[in-house]
This record gives sequence, structure tokens and C-alpha cells, in this order.
Amino acid sequence: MGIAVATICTDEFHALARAEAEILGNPGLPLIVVPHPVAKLRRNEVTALAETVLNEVIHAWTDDAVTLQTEYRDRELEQAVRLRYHSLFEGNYNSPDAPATFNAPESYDATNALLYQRGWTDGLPIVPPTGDRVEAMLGDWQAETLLGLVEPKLGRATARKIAANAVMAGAAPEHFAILLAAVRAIAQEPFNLKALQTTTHPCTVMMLLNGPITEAAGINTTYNLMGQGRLANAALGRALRFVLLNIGGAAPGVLDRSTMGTPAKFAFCFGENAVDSPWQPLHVERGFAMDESTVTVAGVEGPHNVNDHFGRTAEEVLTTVAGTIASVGSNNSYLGGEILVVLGPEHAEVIARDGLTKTDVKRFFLERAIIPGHHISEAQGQVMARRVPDRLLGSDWRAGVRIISDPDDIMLVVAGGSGRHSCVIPSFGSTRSVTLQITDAAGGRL
Amino acid sequence: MTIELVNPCGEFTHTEVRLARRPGLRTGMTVGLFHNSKMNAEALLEDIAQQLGDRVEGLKFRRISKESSEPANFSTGFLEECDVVVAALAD
Repeated sequence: MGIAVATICTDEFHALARAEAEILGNPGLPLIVVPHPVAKLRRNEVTALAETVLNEVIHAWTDDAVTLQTEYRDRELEQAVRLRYHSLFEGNYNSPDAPATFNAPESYDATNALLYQRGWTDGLPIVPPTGDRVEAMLGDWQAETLLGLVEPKLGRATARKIAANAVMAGAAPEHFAILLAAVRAIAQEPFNLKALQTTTHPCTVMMLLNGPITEAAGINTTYNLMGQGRLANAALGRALRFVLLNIGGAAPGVLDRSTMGTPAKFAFCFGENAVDSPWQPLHVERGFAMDESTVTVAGVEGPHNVNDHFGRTAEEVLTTVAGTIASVGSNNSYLGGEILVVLGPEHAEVIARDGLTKTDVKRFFLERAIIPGHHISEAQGQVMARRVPDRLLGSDWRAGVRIISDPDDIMLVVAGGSGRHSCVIPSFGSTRSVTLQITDAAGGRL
Repeated sequence: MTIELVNPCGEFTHTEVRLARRPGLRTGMTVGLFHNSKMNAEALLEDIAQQLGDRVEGLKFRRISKESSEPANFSTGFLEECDVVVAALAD
């Protein structure tokens, strides 16, 4: 069964390719490694590269399968020292027969040093996940309930494993139902978690909360809601990051290949400010009742601010927002996908005062969020013309390119405190946000 | 003195599969060329195809690509038509 494949990848991505092969059960997949980056090579250098790999390509199609599998499995990674990585599944706590518990030093400092050295933290001290703390976090939830498989390593996210990560992040038991719903949401196929976790793009998983849970769990929806200062926002965002790291296996530089990363990877969780919004909140727009609580997960960059202190009308304020959305360097410029716009309550009030609905605002962005042609290089423009031809204003990109294809590519929420600021949050592009209801262990509304 | 902590890592079921049979490269075979749309990946495959064609007569080539950020779609019959595949996942 199957077909003989010779796979060429660059040395920088050898660890990722080998890890993915191992996760899928084939650590001996023939990976033909070439120097990174291929993208910068001139045409004649590409031809020379083809000559150097040709014999190995034929070898990978020809030699006995068992011999090949042994040869490639035993081949040492050139980056093994730098990445501290040999096998994802051997001799560590990620293996199929890993123990459910382990012994750590009684000293808080020594325990933290151990967990940091194992790569299980975000760099900051954690709360040790003792059995008592994990049981308190679980509450009425069944420990073995499976919430999903977390890419890229396809770790089984049981309630107990999630609880251990929630404890480490400093979350409280009243936050736990939110985290469980978020883990179910990230495992949905349209979310494309594997790509989000392993991409070079600086994306993270943002959690947006709606409904009564925001007040009940102490979620900040007003001043500095995307910044520091509130336990629920900080601990929930951090807990989800630990799930992505420890259950999903997205260790920086190994499976997480983000070139830059983002501070939003430490924690990115906030609630919509429905009280100060002139419109229906996001979860009602998506078919939930006002008194239902939901979590929306989105694969996004960190927020980009929109300062407009001077706009007197909806059109003036929205023009500034549209100009911020239309960024040529975002993934959305050629991959499509959603963009989240978080309007501050003062901006939302100016816009609603002129009679605009949410749909009107989204349509405005469809028409006016345009990347100017002089911001687009020829290479980038050619990719846009191929991938999103419906967005070109003229016969090519030089006349400008819309940054969305459909009004529903905009997710629109109102949040934050007073002040004339909003923000734009570009997404990874090849992902769709997922909204799920948050319930208690018995399935009741929260 | 030690304390017992809950292992925060996921639980894994990990089974190894065997590599597919290797048929070698012979006259008349169909070679699949698969790339991920990164810069130069397609050019590299075309150069490999040309050099393979210089070595072995009568090769046929089938081409497929995916966007780098999305899963591949092999439902088009690509795999069924190919005897061997070379994949270029450059960056």
C-alpha cells in the first residue's frame, strides 16, 4: 500500500518535517535535506541544487523500504544540539507509556527549575500541579473526558491533562469550564490548528468571551483588557498556551516555527463589552442566546492599534480603521480569511449615531479597506492576482487590492474602556474562528 | 524529599507504519511532482524533472501543489496516477 515519496526540505525545517513524520508513525520517512533558504536562490542556483539531490531522490525510490526506513530514522539531525531534540516520543514525558504522575523536588524553586528545563513553561514560574490542586480544578468534571486531540502532536486532551496545565498557569476552578470549551473549539477542523501551531507566522490562539460568564468569571472587558492586570484574562490565556505547548507539543524552535513570535503568545484572552456596545454582541450574531456564554477562538496576530481622535462621523472614523486593516504585510493580504476589528465604545458610538449597523460597517470595510498599489511589490502582486483575483480593483494589483473578499470576513466586536482607540487583529488567514457554548459539567448554561 | 505532580503532557497513541514499497525508476513510469507554493519549490521540481528525463526515457510527469498554509487535497486522482512522487517543501 502507499506510494514511494522522496521529500525535499531545508535544514531549518528538517526537525519539523521529521517530527511530523514521526507523529504520523513514520520516523524513517526519507527526507532529503538541502540548505535553507531555497527561496532566495537565483534560477541557476536552483538548477545546481536539483543536480545535487537527484541521486538521493532516485535512491529514496529505489532502495529496499526497510533499509531506507532504518537509514533515515537513524540519521542524526544537524540541529539536534541546538534544538535539544532527538525523538518526540522517546525517553520523555510525551511518550505513549509516559507516567501519569512524576516526582519533583519539594522545593518550589527546584520544581520550577525542573519544569522549565523540561520545556513545559512559558519561561515564568508556574504553580506546581499537585494532585490536590488538579482535583480542585476538575471539580465535577470527569477526569478522563476527552475534549479533543491537540495538533500538531495529536496529544489526547483529557480533562485531567487540561486541569494540570490550568493549575500551572495560575487559573482558578471558576475558569475551568471556559478552558475546556476553548480546547474543544481549537480541535475543530476549520480552525486548522496544525498550521497555526507550526507556521513561521507570529500567530497565537485568542480567546474572546461573550455572555454572563464574562462577569461571573471576572473577565476584563474594559480598560486595558488585552493587557495585564486581571487574573481571569491572564491565567486563561496562559493556560491555553500551556495546553498548546504541553498537549499539542508546539515547543518553540522545534514544532513551533514562528520566526518572531508575539507577546500575545503569553496570554491573549478578553471579553466583549456588551454593556457599552450599540449592537448585538458576537455570540448573538452567531446564533446563541444573549444569556448563553460562549468562547470564540481565533488564530491571530497581536492587536494593531487604531488611533482616531478626530473623526466626527462614522465615515471619518471608519476610514481610519479601514486604512489600518489594509496592511500589505498581513497574511490576509493574499491568503484571505478573517480579520477581527475591535471597536472601542467611543468609536462604536460615533458610528452607530450615524445609523450604521454591523453589516453596514463590514460592507464599508469591503469597499474601503484597500491596499494601495504603490505598497505592493511585483512579486507580492502576482501572488495576489493568482490567489485572490476577485479583490483586484483594476486589471492588476497596481490599482489597489481589497483586503477582504466578503463582508463576513470581518469579525466585529466592541470592547475596551473610554478613549478614542480601536484595534485591528489580522488572522493567520487559512483558519476560521470557532464559537462554542460554555457549559458546566452537567451541560447546563453558565 | 519529593512531591508527586501530575504530568501535564498529552497522552499519545503512537504506532509505526512501514514505508511503501520502492519500485525504482524505469522507462514509462509516471513521476508525481508535488510542491507547497513556496518560492523556488516549483522551479526546483521542474529542474529535477528535466534531469530525470535526461537519465530515463519515456517518463511522464504529473503535477500538483498546495498552498503552504493549507492541507493538501489529493482527491484529484494524483496519487493513483503516479508510480513515485518527489515532494519539494522548500522555504
